[in-house]
Amino acid sequence: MKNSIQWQLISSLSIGLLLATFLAGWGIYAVSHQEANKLFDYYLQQAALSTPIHLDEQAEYSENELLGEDIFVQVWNPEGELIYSSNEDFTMPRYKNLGFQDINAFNSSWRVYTSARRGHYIQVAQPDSKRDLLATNLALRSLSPFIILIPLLLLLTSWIVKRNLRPLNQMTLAIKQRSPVDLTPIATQGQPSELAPITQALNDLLERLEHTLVAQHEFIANASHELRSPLTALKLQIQIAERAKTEQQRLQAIQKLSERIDRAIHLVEQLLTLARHDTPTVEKEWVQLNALIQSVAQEYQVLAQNKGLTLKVITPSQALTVLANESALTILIKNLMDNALKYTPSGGSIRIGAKASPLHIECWIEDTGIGIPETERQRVFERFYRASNHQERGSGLGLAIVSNIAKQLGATLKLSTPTSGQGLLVILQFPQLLAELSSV
Amino acid sequence: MRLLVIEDDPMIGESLEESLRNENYAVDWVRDGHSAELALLQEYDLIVLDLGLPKKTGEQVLLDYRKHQGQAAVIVLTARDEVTSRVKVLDSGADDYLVKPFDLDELLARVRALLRRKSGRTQVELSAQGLVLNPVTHEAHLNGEPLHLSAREFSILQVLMEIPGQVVSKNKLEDKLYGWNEEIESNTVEVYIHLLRKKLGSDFIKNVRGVGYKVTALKP
Repeated sequence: MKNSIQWQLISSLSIGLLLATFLAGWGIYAVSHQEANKLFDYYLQQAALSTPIHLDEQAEYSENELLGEDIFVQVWNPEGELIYSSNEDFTMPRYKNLGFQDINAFNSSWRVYTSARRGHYIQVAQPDSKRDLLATNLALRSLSPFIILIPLLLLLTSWIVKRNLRPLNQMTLAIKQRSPVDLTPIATQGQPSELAPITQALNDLLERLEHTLVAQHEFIANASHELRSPLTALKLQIQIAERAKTEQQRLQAIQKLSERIDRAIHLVEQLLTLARHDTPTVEKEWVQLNALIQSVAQEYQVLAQNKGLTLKVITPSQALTVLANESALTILIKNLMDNALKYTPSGGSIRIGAKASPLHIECWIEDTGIGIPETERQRVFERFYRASNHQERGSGLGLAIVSNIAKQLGATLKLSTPTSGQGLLVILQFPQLLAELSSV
Repeated sequence: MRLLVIEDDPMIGESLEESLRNENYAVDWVRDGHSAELALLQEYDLIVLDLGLPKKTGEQVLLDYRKHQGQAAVIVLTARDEVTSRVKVLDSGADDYLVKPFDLDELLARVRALLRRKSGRTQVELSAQGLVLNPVTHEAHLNGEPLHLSAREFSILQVLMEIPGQVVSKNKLEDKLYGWNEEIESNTVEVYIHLLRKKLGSDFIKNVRGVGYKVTALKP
């Protein structure tokens, strides 16, 4: 509730409005109070002026409506004798100063007005307590419209806030009611300009999500196709083995069966590797690039010899270190080596090496094989894409894995043709930021 | 019977080629859409087509083949088993389909059924002049007695008895008997005809001079 914009708006606006109303009320009250006092002073003055100084007029005067119970009138003749007092119980001394003054007498404060007329002194007094009571009543009465105004303001505030937040609620409802597969953009028409950026951002997210989902869908479709092929081959081979008429045929069929199982295992392993390196982050450490290349090349030496290929390692004398993940980098280089081995015909050569430039540290692998047509060099990194000139059957995942790992390691991959004009040159570039140059 | 296998996966293609050859079909195998286009300039009785092909999709190969009045029966191999894709395959001109991974026996049975339907027969067995051939079991009976025939002899008779009375040229017989990479000796067909006449009687297979050979349904 505390986090709701509606609640925040309603409560803060209400508090503000109430504060303003109370301030205004207090101001009105103070002014009215003051005005009431002025009015009483005027009454007091009038009472003094209208008091007759001749005794015979006194009888009539007691009927004077100006005199409330709370106004005491006293009259002195020029000789200084008190000739009239409206209340015998309270007789005040005559104050010498003419005009208004505040006096303390009989344990309370008084407002006194003294005037002189033809030698007579007329003194009118009113207790402050009475005046205050009357002034307060009067001032409070002027506040009465606020009693209606305050609830009205609160209701109005809440209505306005709710009304203006309606597009937000409508949007929430629209999103809530969506099916989980509905990724169509949210309609922006009729939305207030404040909501448009949110809707836009949400629509962007939905679009990206849709792209991801489509890619995911494609991958699953491709993966199921790719998994079915080796399974089909396995099933066919088993049936061929079952139908074999001679022992030799049977042995041959079983030999092939075992090769096909290896292929299925390879595909599953590649799929798992791909999934493992699909996450954007990986723990990095300093890796000795020369040593890594040497050890991978050593593993491939026998394989290359068996295929009639020469494998050469060319690393600089200085040790090159890159910030990478050793096992991921090994998988990357091995995949590139697998490809070089697979697509280079017998009699060719493979060279692998590393070098440092001012900006980069590079690992490169070059072969004299069939290469990849220039137009397809972007697409070969897609999962299950196979270059059109390749007859050999791979998992179609090797370069996708290579590209994923390169991305993970923050390295750049480049495919080009070697200077000889034949084969493929793969360059893996690490920015010098991630690389450290140290001499042996 | 001459069959074309269009399959890019070398292992599946190899198995298909091997098993279909074992059934005495002449089998050619191509691995991509472009090669398939070239191969289809020849005449085939049946095509086994994989959908996921490089260079040109199987669907496109099929559509183009039918557009150019290709008459062969087509059985499609697909890895996608959703109804929509199966419907699409059949509507593109396929006669049948199988979802990978499929059973070899089922494929062979469907191949036989399609070849049978194509020649307008409903009977599994072929018969003429008291000779009955069973393409499923590769058994032959002459007047109720089992008769031993070699694989090639059986295939020649199968082609000649497909439509009884129809004359089949020597070239066509060779076409239907041998795949691309099978060596043909110049006089093999004559040799087999000679051997068959020894087993079945000299007038079982008629020589139509300058045209070819024929087998009539009834004894002349």
